[in-house]
Amino acid sequence: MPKNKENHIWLKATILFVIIFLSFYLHVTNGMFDMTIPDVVKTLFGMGDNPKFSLVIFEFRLPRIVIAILVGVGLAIAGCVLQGITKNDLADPGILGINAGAGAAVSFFMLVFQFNASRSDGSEWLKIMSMPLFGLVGGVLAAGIIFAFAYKHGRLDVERLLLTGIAINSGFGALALYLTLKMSEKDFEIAALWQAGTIYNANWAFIVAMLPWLIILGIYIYRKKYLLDYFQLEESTIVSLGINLEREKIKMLLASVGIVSACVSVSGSIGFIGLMAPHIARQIVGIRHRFVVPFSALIGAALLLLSDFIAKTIFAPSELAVGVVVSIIGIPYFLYLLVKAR
Amino acid sequence: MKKYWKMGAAALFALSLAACGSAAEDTNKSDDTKTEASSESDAKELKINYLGKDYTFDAPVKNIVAASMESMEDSVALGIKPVGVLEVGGAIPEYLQEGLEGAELIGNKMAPNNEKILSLDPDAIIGTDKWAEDVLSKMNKMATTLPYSHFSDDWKDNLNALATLSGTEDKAKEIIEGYEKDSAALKEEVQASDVKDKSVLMIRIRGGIMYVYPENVYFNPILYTELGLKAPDVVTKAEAQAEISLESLSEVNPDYIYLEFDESENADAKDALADVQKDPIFKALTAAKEDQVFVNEIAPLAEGGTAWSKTNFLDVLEKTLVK
Repeated sequence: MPKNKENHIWLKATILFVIIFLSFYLHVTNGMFDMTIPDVVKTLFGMGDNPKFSLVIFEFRLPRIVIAILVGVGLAIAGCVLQGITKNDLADPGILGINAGAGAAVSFFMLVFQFNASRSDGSEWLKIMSMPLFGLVGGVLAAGIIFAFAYKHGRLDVERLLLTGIAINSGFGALALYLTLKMSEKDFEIAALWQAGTIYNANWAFIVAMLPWLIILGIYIYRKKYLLDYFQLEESTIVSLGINLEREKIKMLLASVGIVSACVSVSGSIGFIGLMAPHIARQIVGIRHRFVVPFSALIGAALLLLSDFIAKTIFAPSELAVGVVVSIIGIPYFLYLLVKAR
Repeated sequence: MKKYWKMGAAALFALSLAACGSAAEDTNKSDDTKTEASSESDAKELKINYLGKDYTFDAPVKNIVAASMESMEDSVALGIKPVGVLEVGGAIPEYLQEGLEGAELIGNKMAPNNEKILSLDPDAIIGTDKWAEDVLSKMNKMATTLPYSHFSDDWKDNLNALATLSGTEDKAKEIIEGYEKDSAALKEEVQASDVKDKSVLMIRIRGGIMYVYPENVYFNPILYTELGLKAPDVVTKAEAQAEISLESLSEVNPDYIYLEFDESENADAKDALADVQKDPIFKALTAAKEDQVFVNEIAPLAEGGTAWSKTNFLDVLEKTLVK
């Protein structure tokens, strides 16, 4: 029987991989620049000699695809952890205010550091790399504040966590708005584009900047997945199992904040992936996090990749921010969950 | 056992992604050197010094992509036809439609479509210095990109650069000389009349909110520098686009108001203009009482600091300011 079940898991995983591959295929073969499918394939495998083709594939399409996959994976894993820790199925990095914290920090970065730099293009690499780092600082700061307020009698109070999260969310949102209004017209436009949640300007530098966070923290969370199973128990039961509950919660939370911040600094605030992916995963593979975590990651990747494909195609040559597409899909799903939960 | 195998697979996936990254960079590097070499052997280059920096274009420059509103206005002023232009709400902005007819759309100004631009086979891309470095570096991989200044004071440099690229230097000279002559004449006229002591304010409504701009931004240099009018405090104190409430507007109480409103910039507040106009505070302003509020006399999407904007706004001022 267990053997049989394992097979089902692999079958389901395979189906997900096929979906991701199909999204990848759609994304890589479609665009405003006309390329035949053989050309795409040739260029992908390094056999093309047309510099324009390589530019399209390796500079325009692939970075976007990889970023969509990575951000999807990151947000989904973070959503999994947050839902596990808070024991609340509606928890999501966006709802908890971590997105907003990172967002405000990046806005601050744009205001302070790019204000007078409108004509310099010397140190672009450094700038690209330092923006995500700022997001990280903001995300950790937001999480720190949420923690500080959510702690009651030496333990993490879940209700307070969600409530402070909502407060932090609007607080940092307002701060980001204030900062963008102080910006020059140049920075304002960059910030506005970024805040809408977009991976339009994806490049390899962003990928290099976020990949270490995702790999290290992702593996850490996957190794600790059993904790997420235990978190579903009564708190007293968990403690009686000999688990240092509060410390583990904080460690898991910090890990997910790290992932979210890396994602947000690259793509802006994209909501709902962290909410939807774990839900769909639980519907497919049940409640054991051994499966929920990796399946969420795959579903997150597929969702964001498809959304980005829609974002770049639907109003072409104009781009729609992928965050908008995700919200259009996500809000009905959120409402559906609310109705179902009653 | 299986667990380790899975983790290994994950690590391998990650590694292959990373490998992808470096491989891609390598291919591009070699591409870059190739194009450089070929342009050297042709020895056909067009060098432009723009705002203290040198830009080298492959000559002849035939396909120009105007990826900024400023460059689109300059193209119309110079009478050249870019192959690609920005869209606003799915079309070329109405006030430029005639001049830019036939150009392909390349997306909106916030996120111009790289692939579309590349498919137009550009020799030069006229962007904007508002772009972040990452956008700019992508554009530069397709064709040399001129980051057009968005500061109104640089309008002559902008126009001259585009004129050099398109071989229309004479036209640019004509425009600049004509403008300088006309604005000097209007200044004389203004300074000789009682308008010289009046306060004139240009307001743009965006997202339902009224904004004023610093002295050197938008249309303001025409009013306060070239015509020598006195800038109200709200303008001198503004560091960037600054919100102005009806209350503070009534404190300024301008004698002339040029109000700009475009629906594409007020998608959530389509009635904002009408609301402002029928507000009792607004109606009590000197400008409103003396019938000196001018709405959209110049196209509301006009940039302000370009040859097109300046010459056309000068005409508007001639009609409205000194009657």
